[in-house]
Amino acid sequence: MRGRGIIGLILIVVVVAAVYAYFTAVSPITRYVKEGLDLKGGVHVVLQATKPATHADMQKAETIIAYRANKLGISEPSIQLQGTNQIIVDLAGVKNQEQAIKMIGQTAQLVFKGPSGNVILTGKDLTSASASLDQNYGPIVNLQFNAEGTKLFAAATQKYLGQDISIYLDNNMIESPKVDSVISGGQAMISGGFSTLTQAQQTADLLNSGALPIPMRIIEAQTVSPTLGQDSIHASAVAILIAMALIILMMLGIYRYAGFIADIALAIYLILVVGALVAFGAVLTLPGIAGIILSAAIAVDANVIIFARIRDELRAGRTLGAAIDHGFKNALRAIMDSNVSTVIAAAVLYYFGTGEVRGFAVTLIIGILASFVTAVGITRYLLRLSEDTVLVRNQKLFLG
Amino acid sequence: MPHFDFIGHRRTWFIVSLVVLVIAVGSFFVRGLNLGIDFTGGITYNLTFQKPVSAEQLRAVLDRQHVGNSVIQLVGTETGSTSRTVLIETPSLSEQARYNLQNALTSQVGKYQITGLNKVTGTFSNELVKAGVLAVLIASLAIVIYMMIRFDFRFALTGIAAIFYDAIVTLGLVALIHFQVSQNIVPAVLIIIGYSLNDRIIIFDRIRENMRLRKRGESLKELTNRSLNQTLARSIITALVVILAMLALLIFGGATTQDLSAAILIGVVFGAYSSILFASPLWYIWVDANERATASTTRRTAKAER
Repeated sequence: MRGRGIIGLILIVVVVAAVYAYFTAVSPITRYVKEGLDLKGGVHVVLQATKPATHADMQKAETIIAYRANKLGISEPSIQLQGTNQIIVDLAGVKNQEQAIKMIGQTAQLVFKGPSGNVILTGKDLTSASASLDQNYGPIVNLQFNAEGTKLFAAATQKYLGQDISIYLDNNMIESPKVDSVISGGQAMISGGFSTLTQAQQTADLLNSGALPIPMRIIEAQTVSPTLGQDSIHASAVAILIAMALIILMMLGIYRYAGFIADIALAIYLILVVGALVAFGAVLTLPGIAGIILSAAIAVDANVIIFARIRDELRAGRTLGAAIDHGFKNALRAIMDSNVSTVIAAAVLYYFGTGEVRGFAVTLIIGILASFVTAVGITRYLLRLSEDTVLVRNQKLFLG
Repeated sequence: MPHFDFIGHRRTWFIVSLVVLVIAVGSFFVRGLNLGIDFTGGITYNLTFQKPVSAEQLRAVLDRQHVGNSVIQLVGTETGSTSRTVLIETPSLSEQARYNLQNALTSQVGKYQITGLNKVTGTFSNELVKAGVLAVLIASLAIVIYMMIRFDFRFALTGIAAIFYDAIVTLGLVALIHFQVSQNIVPAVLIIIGYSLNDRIIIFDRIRENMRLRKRGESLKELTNRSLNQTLARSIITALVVILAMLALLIFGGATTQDLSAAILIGVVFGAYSSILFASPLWYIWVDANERATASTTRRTAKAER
């Protein structure tokens, strides 16, 4: 029993050390964690409807913006409705920030107008848009109308044969071609106003996403410099390492061997939290890190409470095994009450909060669950493993 | 186990708590928080100079242009304390003031290119804070309900009062010290409330346990003191752990997280203080009054029966 306990303990320490070594030296964990806007840099845009908007309008606008963000190559944009008429868009890691802001906020209302300014058809009558080069290598946007649009366009080209039809995007005239023939196939192209194929592609993407159901104005646009983000990440990472080292030393100093066990539990806690973040694909932000810090403090606190209780029991004259059992039992109620109320509070914050507050709530909930598993479950298991070792016979060495 | 008489000196501690609260609330309303452009709105410049520049050079110009409360950040420091790429956040400026500032930078620091310029409006952040406050209030209500079920309403109400005390005192002292706060103040306050909640429950749990196993003839004062002394070592160690971690973040964490760590540091110190010297005495006074009332009723009933 004695031998097995020690071997089990050493095995766990080796595995934990190996996991840390692997995810720092071989395959840095930063590769797996999705960093949020404040850490990675990117664009933060707040859009506000310029006209009274219904909830359905806002939801549709949200979907359209998500589609556009996707076209910008942002796989997981953060898009949230705020209040009744605002949408917050965070695009982490976007490269061309100016272009991104422009593309997100554009209404993209396509209108074909007749010579007298009458509306012939709009972007709603489109099936798809695509970009290509014409025979002179000029960039163009090809339009394919739906059945209704095809009918309208055919009628219009017949009616205005020899006259001009103007094409407007968000009230800006792009071009005004003369109708040469009746077009009944439901196809048209826009050839004016694009200097590059990329620009034409972008317009095609916008048209494919559909126009925003209500015009929106950008009330806040912030580009967060990624380099700055990296700088602050580096400094924070160093600070967190120093803080961890201090906590580890402090626990060792106060609780000796039991402190060492608590340190292992803390190390496993961090693996669980980061692992869960990666598994759920959660985006890590600064408030998110704050949630991890708080739950780490609560994890350490749980061990401090448990060890204080075990000391009480030892002082009351119990044997070590009984002291560990009673210590855990007595500490558990306090830890449970604290954890449950924190999780309840975090869940409420998540439900009612926005952006920042939500990031905090998510990591706090994950962190509390992980801290309960490690600070209570794993610490207890490891203490049990070492119950019969020589170390434990010396109470001073065991618990300080 | 130490034997401090926390409850015996409760009047002193209430006066201390009250004085701190008055200073905090006064600072908050008179001096106000030193809000960064996250809240007030302003302009963010990304500049790339032809030659590396130092923060001091830029600071001198900004001071002369009366925008000394701007934030300067050197991006990717090349040679120690200078960089070609800088980020400057200024408060809202008129067209003329912006023009003057840009000219002054050219003539007094050097030629540069503006690689990014963004106007930030402040109203949005205020709304965010309002939404956050509302979320915190609803969360507090949930905590009160949970504590009423698991403890009782006296623990719940004194506990939540002390949690708000911590949050208010922290914000007040942040206003008093007057360091500039960014949106980081939101996660900072959330951490403080969370820490405060945890601390309250751990200590109240010990009082609850001792109440259940109350020794015959032990006065409420003795019992509360005993509970606080039993948990004192834990209170100090846990507070020290967080204080150490936040000091590390404050010293080594760089400018962007300084307001966060400083606020948490203040909050944790007051959290540890208020659990022992504010929340518990408050609970004691309430329960003691109840016990006295019950005792006198019992005596009267006993007398009447005789």
